[in-house]
Amino acid sequence: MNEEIRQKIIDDGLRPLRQGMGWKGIVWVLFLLAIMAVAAFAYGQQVRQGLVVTGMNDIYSWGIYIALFVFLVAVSLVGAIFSSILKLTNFEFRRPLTRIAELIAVGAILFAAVAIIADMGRPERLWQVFASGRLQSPIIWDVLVVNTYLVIGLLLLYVPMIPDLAYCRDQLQDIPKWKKKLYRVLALNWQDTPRQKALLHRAEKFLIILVIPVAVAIHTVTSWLFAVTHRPGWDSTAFGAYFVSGAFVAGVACVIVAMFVLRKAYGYHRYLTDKHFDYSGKLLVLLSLVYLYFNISEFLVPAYKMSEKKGALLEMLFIGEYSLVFWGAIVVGIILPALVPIFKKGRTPGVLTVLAVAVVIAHWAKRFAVVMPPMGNTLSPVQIVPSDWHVYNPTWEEIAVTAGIMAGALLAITVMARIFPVLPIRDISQGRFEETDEKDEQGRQAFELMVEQHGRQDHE
Amino acid sequence: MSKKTMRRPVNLCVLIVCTVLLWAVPAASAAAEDVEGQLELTYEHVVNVERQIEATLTVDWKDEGTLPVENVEIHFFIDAEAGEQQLGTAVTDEEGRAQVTMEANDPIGMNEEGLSTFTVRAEHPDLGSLKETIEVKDGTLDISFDEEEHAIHATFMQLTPDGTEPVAFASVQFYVLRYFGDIGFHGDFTMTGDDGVVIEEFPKGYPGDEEGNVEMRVQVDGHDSFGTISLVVDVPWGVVVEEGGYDRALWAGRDAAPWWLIIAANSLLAAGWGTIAYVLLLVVRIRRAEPEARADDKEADGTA
Repeated sequence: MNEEIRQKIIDDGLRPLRQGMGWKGIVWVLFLLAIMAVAAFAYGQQVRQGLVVTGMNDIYSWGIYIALFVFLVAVSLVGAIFSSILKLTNFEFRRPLTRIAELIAVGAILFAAVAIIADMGRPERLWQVFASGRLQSPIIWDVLVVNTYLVIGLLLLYVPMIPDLAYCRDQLQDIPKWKKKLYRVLALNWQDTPRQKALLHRAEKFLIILVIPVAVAIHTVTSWLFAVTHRPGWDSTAFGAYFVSGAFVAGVACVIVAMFVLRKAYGYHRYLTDKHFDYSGKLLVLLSLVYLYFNISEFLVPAYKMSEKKGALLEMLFIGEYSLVFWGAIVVGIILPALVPIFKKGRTPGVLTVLAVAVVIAHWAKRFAVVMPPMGNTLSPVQIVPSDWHVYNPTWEEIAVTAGIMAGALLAITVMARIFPVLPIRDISQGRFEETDEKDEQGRQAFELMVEQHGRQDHE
Repeated sequence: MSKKTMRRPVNLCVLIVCTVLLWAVPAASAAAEDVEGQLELTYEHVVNVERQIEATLTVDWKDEGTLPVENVEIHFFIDAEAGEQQLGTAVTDEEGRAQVTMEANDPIGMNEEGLSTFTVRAEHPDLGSLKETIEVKDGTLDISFDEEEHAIHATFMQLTPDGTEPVAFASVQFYVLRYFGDIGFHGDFTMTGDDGVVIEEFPKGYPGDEEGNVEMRVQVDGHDSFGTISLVVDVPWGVVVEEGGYDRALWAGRDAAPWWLIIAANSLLAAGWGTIAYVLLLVVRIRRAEPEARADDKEADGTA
C-alpha cells in the first residue's frame, strides 16, 4: 500500500512535466514575452541615450528600478521561511510549499540583480562595482549578500530536488532528448543508496541553517543602503527589522498566489489543500501584525515629535502627494492581511488569494513610498536646476523596463515550474511514510483514506 | 478573341498608370516642398585656448519636426582684410553638427565697429545651396582674487580695434569643475556693472588637489553679441586632498577601512562561502557515492 501511494505521489509530481503547456500557458508565456520585448526596446533606448530617458535626475537619483529591487529582494526571502524556518520548527504543512517558495525566491533574486543593472544605466558599469568598489560602502555589502543568497537559493532549490530529478530521469520517457539529458546530469547518478541519502541530508541541514542568517542579512543590508544616510525617512536604527518583517509578508502573499495558480493549473488539490490556505492565512496574520508593529514604531515616534525635516516628510506621506500610495499600502498591505484571515471565510482559497494579490501590489507600492519621498529631500540647498527636477515622474521607458523585469521573474518561475517538479515528491513521501511514530501512522492512514477518496472521485 | 476584349487590359493599364501618376507627381513635389534646410551658427571663445565656430544643419520635416542632416560637408569662412578667407571644412555628425577650431591668437578680421564675420556654405543634392553668416564681437574675460572677501572678481571686456571696453549688464556664471558635472555657485542675477566687473563669493570647502587648487570656469553663455565666452582658471581656495585620500569617491580610500571591519566582514563572508563550498563538495560526493555503493553491493553479493 505504501509503495502504491508513493508511486501515486510520484505520478502526480511528474504529471505536469509529461503534459504540454496548454493554450492558457502559451498565452501566459506570450504575454510575458511581449512585455519583455517592449522592455528590451525601452532598455535599448536607455543604453543608447543614457539615463536621461528616465525620470531620474540629480535629485531623484533612485526611481522605480530601486523600488522594484527592494520589492524583489523582499519577495526572495520567502525561500528562507518555508525551506528553513518552518522546517526547523517542524511545521508539516510547509512540505508541499517548499519547492514553490524556492522557485519564487530564485526567480525574484535573479531579477533583483537585473533591476540593479537597469538602474546603472549601462550594463558594463556593473564591472565597476567589483573593480572600484570599496568595503566601506553598503552597496558592496549588498552586492556580496545578493550574490551569496543567489547561490544559496539555487542550492536550496537544487539539492533537495536531486531525488525528484532522479524520478524524472527514470520515469519520464516520452520527453525531448534535451530534457532527458538535463535530468540525467542534474540527478547526479542518484540511486537512493543509504550513503547518498546521508550526504544529501547533511547538505540540506547545512543549507537550511545557513540560509536564515544570509536571508536576513540580504534584506537588512538592503535596508542599510537607505539607513546609513542622514536623510529623514531612512535614518532609522530599526530599518533592518522593519524591512525584514515586511519582506516576510510580501513573500507569503506571493506563495499564496502561486499556490492557488499551481493548484488550479496542475490539479494539485490533494496536496495543496484548503488546510494549506488556512495555515498560510494564519501565518499571514501573524507576519502582518509583526510588520504593523514595526510600522507603528517607524512612524508614530517621529510623528509625535514632527521635527522640521522629518515632519515635512511625514506630512508628505500622511496628507501630501504620497498619501494615497502610503495609506493604500498600509491599509491593503498590512491592516487587511492582519484582519481578513482572522475569519475562517478569509482563509478560504479564493478570498485569501484575492487578498494576497492585493497585498503583493500594496507591498510594491510600500517600497515606492519608502524609496521615493526621502529622495526629494536632499538635505542641502539645490541651486540652478530645472524646476521639473523637484518632482519624480517615471517615463514610459522606465515603466516598460520595470514591467519587463517583473515579467522576466514571472517567466523564470513559469519555465522552472514546467521543467522541474513543483511538488517536493520525496519530501512529501518522507513526511507520510518514513517517520514511523504513532502520529505519523495516523497521518498515513488519513492520507491513504484521502487518496482513496480522491481516486474514487477521479474515477467517477 | 475580339479587338474590343483585347483593348480592355490596355485601357486598364492606362488607367492604372494615370492614377499612379496623378497621385505620385503631386506627392513627390509636395515631398520636395517639405524639405527645407537650415544652417545655424554658434560662436564660442575659450579665452587663451581656442575659438570655435559650430554649424548645425537641420531640415524641417512636416510630420517629424526638425531633423539633423548627417554627412554634409560644411565650408567655413572668415571675412579678412584681404577678402573672404577659408577657415576649414568639416562634415556634419549624426546631430547635424560640424565645427572648426581656431587658435586663440589667430586673427579674426575685425571691422571698424569691432565685428568679426563668419560664413558657412554647404551643398546638398536635395537641399540645394545653403549659406549662413554670423557677426560677433570679440570679448575676453579676466579674473582676480579678493583674498579678504574670499571672492572672485571677473571682468568682461570687449576687444575693439582701439583697445578694450567694459561690457555692462552681461550675465556671468561661475562653476567649479567636477568629474561628472560642474557645480554652479553664482546667484540668479549675477550681472556685470558699468566697469564690466562682477564679484562672486567663492564657497569654502570644495575638495581640491594636493595643493588645494580647484578648477573654476567663468562663463558668459550665449550672449547675443559675443556668443559664449569662458575662462578656466585654478583657484587656490580648495581643501587640500592628498592623492587617493578623498573618501567620497567610490573608488578611493579603501585604506581608510578599520582593520576590525575588514576582518569581521571577510570572516563572515568566508564562513558563508565556506559553507557553500562544503555543500558543493557534498553534492560532488553524492554523485561519486553511487559507484561505491554498487561496489559495496557487489561485494555483498560476493561477485566483486
